[in-house]
Order: sequence, then C-alpha cells, then structure tokens
Amino acid sequence: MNFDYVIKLDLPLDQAWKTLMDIERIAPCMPGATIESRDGDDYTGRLKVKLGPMEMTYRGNIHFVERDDNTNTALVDAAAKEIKGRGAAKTQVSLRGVAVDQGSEITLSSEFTVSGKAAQFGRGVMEEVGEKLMGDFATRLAAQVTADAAAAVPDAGISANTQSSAAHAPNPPAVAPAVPADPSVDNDALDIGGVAMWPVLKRLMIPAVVVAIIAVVYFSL
Amino acid sequence: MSKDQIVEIRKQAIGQSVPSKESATLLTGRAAYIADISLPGMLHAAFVRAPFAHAKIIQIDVTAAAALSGVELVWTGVDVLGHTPGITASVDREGFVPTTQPAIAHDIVRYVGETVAVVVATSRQIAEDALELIDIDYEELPVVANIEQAHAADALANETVPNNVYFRNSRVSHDVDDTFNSAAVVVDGVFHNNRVSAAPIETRGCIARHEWTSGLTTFWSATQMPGILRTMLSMFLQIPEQTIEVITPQVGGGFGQKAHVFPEELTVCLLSRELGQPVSWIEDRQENLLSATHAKHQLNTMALALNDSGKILAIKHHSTTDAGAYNCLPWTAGIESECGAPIVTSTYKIELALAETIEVATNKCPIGSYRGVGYTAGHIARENLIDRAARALEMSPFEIRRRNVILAEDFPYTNATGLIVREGTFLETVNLLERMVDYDAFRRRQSAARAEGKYLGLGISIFNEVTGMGTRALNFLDLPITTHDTSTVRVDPTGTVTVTTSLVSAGQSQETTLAQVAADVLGVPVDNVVVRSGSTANAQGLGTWASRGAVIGAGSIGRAADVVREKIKCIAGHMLEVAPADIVLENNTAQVAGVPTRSLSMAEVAGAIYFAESAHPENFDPTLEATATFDPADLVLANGGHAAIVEVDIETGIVRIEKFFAVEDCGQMINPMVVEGQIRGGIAQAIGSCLLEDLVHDENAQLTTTTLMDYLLPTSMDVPDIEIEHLETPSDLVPGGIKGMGESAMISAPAAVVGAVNDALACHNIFIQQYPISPERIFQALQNASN
Repeated sequence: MNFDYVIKLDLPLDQAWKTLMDIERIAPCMPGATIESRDGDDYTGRLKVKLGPMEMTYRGNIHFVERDDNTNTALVDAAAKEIKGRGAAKTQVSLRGVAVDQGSEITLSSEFTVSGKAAQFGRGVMEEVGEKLMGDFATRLAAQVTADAAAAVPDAGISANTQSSAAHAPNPPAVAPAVPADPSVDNDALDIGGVAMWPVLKRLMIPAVVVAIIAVVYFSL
Repeated sequence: MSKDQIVEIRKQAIGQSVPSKESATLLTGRAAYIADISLPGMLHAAFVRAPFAHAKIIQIDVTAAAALSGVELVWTGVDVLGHTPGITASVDREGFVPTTQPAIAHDIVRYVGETVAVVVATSRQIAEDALELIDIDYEELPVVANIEQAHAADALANETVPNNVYFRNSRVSHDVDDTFNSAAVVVDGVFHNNRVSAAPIETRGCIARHEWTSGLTTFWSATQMPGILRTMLSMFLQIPEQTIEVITPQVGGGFGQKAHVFPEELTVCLLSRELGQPVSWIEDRQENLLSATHAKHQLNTMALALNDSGKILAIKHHSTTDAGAYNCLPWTAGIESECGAPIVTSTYKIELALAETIEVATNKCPIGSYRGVGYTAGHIARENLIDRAARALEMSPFEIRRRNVILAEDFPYTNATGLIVREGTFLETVNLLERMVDYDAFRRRQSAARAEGKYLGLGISIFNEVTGMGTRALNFLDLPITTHDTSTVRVDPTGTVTVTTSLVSAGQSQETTLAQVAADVLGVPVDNVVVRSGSTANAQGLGTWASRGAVIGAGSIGRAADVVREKIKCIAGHMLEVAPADIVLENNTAQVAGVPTRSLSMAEVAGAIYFAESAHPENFDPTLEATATFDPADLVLANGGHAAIVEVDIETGIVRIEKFFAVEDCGQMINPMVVEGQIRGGIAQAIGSCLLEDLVHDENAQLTTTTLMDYLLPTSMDVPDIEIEHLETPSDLVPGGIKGMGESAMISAPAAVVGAVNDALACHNIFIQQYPISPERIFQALQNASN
C-alpha cells in the first residue's frame, strides 16, 4: 500500500529540514508515538493507535538508510511489531525537501506493509486511518516546526495536502487533532473510532431508513 | 438383501408439505446450539492466529499469559506435537501430494489465521486477554499469494508440496483441435471465480469432555459429519474409537463448511484430556472468515465449438484451483476442479471434450467444500458461453439449449466424461423456464426499457445434479470412497416409531422429512415418528452433505423399516389368522388387505410382540428394531434450471435482481415446502456469491475482509421474488422415487445471475468474467467498452 504526502511549510527549507531530521523532536508529532532510545541513526520507539474499542501498540525501530542534508533527501526504514502479537507493520519512507515560494515543501512517499489485525480491517479503513494519522502528523509537525523557529516567523501558516494512491470514500466526521502544548509529554493515541465506524454507518444507512419508514407508516395507522 | 435394495412405500405423508417439526424449537429460540451448551467446570479456549501468510516461528514466550489469573493452560505447537502430528489429508490417486496440517503450527505458519498457540481459561474473556500477552517472533518467508505465483514457483507455499502443485489431471482428452479449427462459431473465456466463504450464521465450535474415571470422551461439535469426525479423532489422536461419542447439537447452517475435520477440533479434544475438565471453543466471525475453509476459488478457461445451427460440437475446459496451504480433510485440494471436470458437459450432448485440472498451493486458508461443490464455476463459464454463442447466431438462449440437451430418446446416454444419463427433464425444463419468464414479452420489455436508458437482462442456466452421494457417485468423481450410512428403526411397545440416523441436520428439516418416509413405510401418522440424529451413539455414517440426506435417509430408513414391517405383518397375520402377505399397514393399523374392518392397531400389535408371547408364532424373534444401510445402485441424477431477470444501473454499477425463477425435478418430493426452502436459500447464496461476496487478499496474502462489514452477505433486500415450478421424474434407484436436491440452486443459479448481467450489457459488447460483479467491475467494463 502506498501513501504519498506533501507537507507545505512557511519556513525556509534549511530550517524545516533540520527540524524534520531531529527524529526525537518530531516523533511526538505523530499521534501516539514515542521515541524510547537512540543509537546513532537508529531509533527505538512505539506507536499507539486506537480503532474504536481496539487499541494497538506497535514497537519497533527506525533506521536512516540514507540521509543527505545537502540535497535534502532521506530514506528511512521502519519496522514494528504489534506488542500484543496481532501483527506487524513495515514501511520505507523517502523524504525530500524542496524550497518553494514563501517556504518549503516536504514530500513523503511511503510504502506500507501491514500484517495481522490492522490489515484485516480492510483496505478502506486502513487508508482512512493512514490518511487521518498523516494529516494530524502534518498539522502537528507544522506547529512544531513553527514553534522551533520561535519568534522568527510569528504567524507561520501551514497547509497540508495529503494524497493517497487510491480513491477515497467521502470524508468522515473530522476528529479535531489535539496538538499537545509540549508534545513530548502529552501524546495520547488518536482515537480513530470515528473513521472506522464510517463504513459501518454507510452499510447501516439503508436498513435504518427502512426501519424509519416502517415506524412512520406504523404510527400513522 | 443388498445395500441398494429399494423397499416399497405407500405414499401418504410423502409429497405433503407437512409442517416442519423443528419450527417451534427454532422459532421460539429454544434450540440449543453449540454455544448454548454449558457444562459444570467447563473451560474456554481461544487461539492465537498467525498474522503472516508465511513465516517461520522464531520463538514464543507464553510466560506472561500463563501467569494471568484464570488461565489454566497455554499450549504452543510444540506442546501439541507430542500428542499428534496433525491432520493428514490425501486421496488415493497416483501423483497426489498429501499434506499434514499440524493441530497447532509449530515451526512455520502457512496462512493468515493458522493457529499458533491456544489458551485455556475460566472464561473466554480471560483467554482472549491472555492471547495478547503471548509474545511471538516471526521471520517472514516469501509468500505465494495467487495462482500465478504458484505456477512461477519462485517460492513454495508449503515446502512439502513440490512446485506448488497438489495434483494435476486430465479427466477426458478427446482430440478437439480439428473440430475447433473448422467450427462455425467458437466462444471462449477466462473466468476468475472469487474466493468465498460458506459463512454459516453459526460459526464453528466444539466442546470436549474427557472422563478419566470411565475413559470416555464426549465431543460436541457443530459438524455435518459426526461419524467421520469420531473416526478421525480416534486415528489422529490415538484414542480408542469406542470411547468417543461425537454429539451434534442444533447446527446453525453448514453448507459444506462444517463437512470437514478441523485442527481446532483435535486440539480441543486433547486439551480436555490434559486438563481433566470440559473445554469449549466457540469461533468468532473473524476467525471464521480467516480460517474456516474458504471455497470456490478457481481460474477456469473454457471454449465451445459450435456449428452454424447452434449445436455444440466440442468443449475445452481447463480449471485451476487456488487451493491454499494444506489439503482439507476429507476432501483435499481437489474438491473443486477435480469434482467439476467429470460433470462439465452437464445436460448437453457434447461428443468431444477436453478437461484438464490442476490444484495449486498458495499461502491462504485451505479451500474446502461449499454447496454446489465442483459445479458452480463450470456452470457460470459454460452457460455464459452458450448465451454468447446464441447471441453470435442470433438465436434465443432457450432455443440453443433445446438444440443441445440430452433428450428422452437418447436415454441411456453416455456422455463424454463417462456419465450415464438415464433420465432427466432437460427439454421440459427449458420449455417451462421459457414460459415462466415469458420470453418474447421479456425481450419486448427489454427493448422498451433500453429506449428509456434502462438495462434489463435475462440469464438462464440448466443443470443436472449427482445427488444422494453414495459409493458409485463418489467413484465417478474419482474419489475411491465406500459409503456406509446406517439408520435404525424401532417400533416402540406402544406402537410409536423411533428412528435413529447418522444423518445430522443443519436446518434442512430432516426430522420432518425422514419421519415422513418412516411413517409411510410403516403406515403410521408422521406425528407418531421421532427421528433422532446427532450422536455417533445412534448410528454410523458419513453425514449430511452433497444432497445425500433424502436419498440415503429414505433408503436406509426404508430398508430398516421394511424388516420391522415384516415382523409386524407376521404377528398381525398370526393374530388375524391370515397369511402375513395378506396384511397391509396403513392408518396406524395392521389390516387384512381389502378388509379394513379386520385390523389391529399398531399399539396392539407392538404390545403383543413385546409383552405377549402367547400371541407369537412358533420360534418368533420379537426384535422390533432393525438397522440398515443404503447405497444406491447407480448415480441418482436430479435436474432443473434457473432464470434471473436483472436491471443494471449503468450510472452506479448496481445490479438489482427483479425476479428469479427455478425449475426443480428432484423426483418424488418428500415435502414440497422443504424443497422450496432449499431452493430459496440456495438462490440467496447464489446472488451473494456472484454480486457481493469476496474474500479479498492483499499482495502479501493478508485477508482484508474479516468482518461482515467488508465481506458482504446478501440480505433480504438483495433477494427478489422467487417463482418455483416442479417437474417429477421419480428415481427407480431410491425408495419412493426420491432424489436429493439440496445443492441445486448453488449449482446453477449463479450462472443465471451472471448471464443476466451479461445479457443486460451485451449491447455494449460486455462479457464479465471476473466475480463478484461489483459496481466497480461494471464501471470498469463500461469504461473499457467505451474506449
């Protein structure tokens, strides 16, 4: 499964790239993510995802395969195991930063392999969950980058444009992303129950309408 | 007497829509299914299932799980390997590759959902919590995700299956090349039949209780084949067979999925012996969709050669089954393609045939049986190609079939695959279906609708079905199995009748239909008969599958009742001072033929036999019960046809089925209401499997449709009015002229659904060969057509 994202930042490229490469700083921008330890370019961390009543925590490693601060490119491998033994996730993310008018654009291209429980929820849910997670990541990353840039750019605006490779269902009711004041302290998993429930609601809609009609007919007799 | 003996039956209850004896229990919710059984001290098992399609198990740490309060035992594959190597499934055919599936995987997992560990706890909840504490490290192995990758054999799905091939076969190999080269019309297609689940509403489940004091094991299972399960538990677990009783409670639908022996059943049986307490395992829906057998998944390439008058001259058929990582037991990977090839010419006179089959191993759940085994995919291909040929020849789909069906004057007709067709109402079925759909009126309506932008389509399919699967039928399908099902009939001391049979019911109303048979052999009211099934203590047999209940039941109950009937006639004759041959049993009496006033009630005769030796003739043996088997002398062929009218919305791609028609000739019906129930249920499944249901795997063979949110079953909203007509060609191989029919709609109705969609879209030159026909596929087909 492929996810491609473009994050637009109102910051000069070198500043944006520097922040982005500080994994320990930016990890908390991903809802539910924590970095536990670092060994050179290798990091160990965990990511907690809530899907309604189901909570999954992935624990694994992030490894920089390539990193070039001159060309603003990097290739990152991440592999994680669900700690309750219900699956695994693997991804290779390629990052590229380019300067654009009034700031910079970071392109993330990733190829995901998800196994076990999460994969079994079906492609639609996976894509919506992925999009929601990355959308929030982008929002929080922009806030983080802006904060790091301190007063230099006081009202830095951001916009995140996410695109995944497949078609999507209509957007679910939005879950407001909570950007923690200090992301390293308070970083709860994003509850994606609303996302996961959407396809269910779509399927239930027709019978619900039928029930409503029957009820109306019954009570008007 | 031989096991194919056909006893005489005076039809009274047979042929009547006797209200189902099961209804009150089912409709009031008082039926006890496997999950309703609670035994003192019963523990609950839950399984860890593989998250990868192919991986090596590096290490398993169960320490934390075992320490959880309420957990009694945690077993991994290594623990269970000490008790059993697992399930070995094979078939006695040269070149067939058997497999052994461990009861719990111990070194390698070969499909997502395979069991890796089991927890037994005081509640299911605790067991499930404990599952999450088991830490397992896997090393992923290369995955064989589909037929293409299986053929490439860059990786092996199961290292014990060389080249990923379980078996390949050529059932019939006439030289068809010249015929195809010179044919006026050749139609061909490559048909991708979807992987589906039989998806019974009740999932699998079993409970084992081992009593160490007596050494007896009682095993409850929601199974269609308690007899086979008992024997297999004994063989694979080395438990003396006489110490095992398998009990089948109320079963909430089987449809072939419950006609297997599963690894979980072996494990649960062992756990109860290990713990000395009853252990229950009730499958949840995700487990069911992941790891109860999958079905139907095939790639079929078919071609027909016809002359310019629409006569089919030759058929070429090549079928590949995507069979999963192991052979299912007892059917093996050959369940679909191997059973499909021998019946590929169906009701048609096609002199030349080439039928090749292959079953390949993939890292998916094993393929198993599901209603319409072997038939469904081939029917979709053949019937749709016939329709296509009819379009090419500008001929009606009814007319082209009329020109090809085996006619009464051809009987007995030996077809290209060696099946001897002795009877059948094929032409009558075509004509009747044509009248039911009012063909000319439909075509007029279709053109009028087309003018308004509406796309109506008509699909038809006709079939014959090998029913009452006995030894000869199985041998015809190249399955060298002998059947041996028994029933016991006893007339009780008060003159009522108790029947015990090995045929278990999963909702087919056999307690009613088999009672109707017994009642008519003995001349008693249906209410005076009780049919007991569902325990291996009752009788021995292979179980209820492949439309065999009515045939095997009527035959074995008939033969057993006949023995008892002779006893009754002997005593009644003695008491009424006439020869036993002059006694007839009817209206709950034994009476002198032609003199109804000279009669004794069944209660009087039975009472005399049990309690009054003075009424016995000399040397009379008062045993008033008998056990008999039945195995028909030849294949029992039922037949019929289906037609569907659909409307395809080309804006949304949604197919709405407007009306369904069914013609069934299952000989003498025992109970028309039950027959029609079977037809309606099968049609619902046909609609689901063609339009909605799909077990979707990603490129790593991860199943991504594990809930009924993603695996779409048909609901009442998807099933239209169904009009049913009956023809009646009694079998001379079965008492009462009865034939089986349980699978008919899943044999032939899917072809009618697909045919109707293709008919609706034929004006765009669309011919859909990939199923299910989702709105997306219709959209794609329309896009391709407009390009």
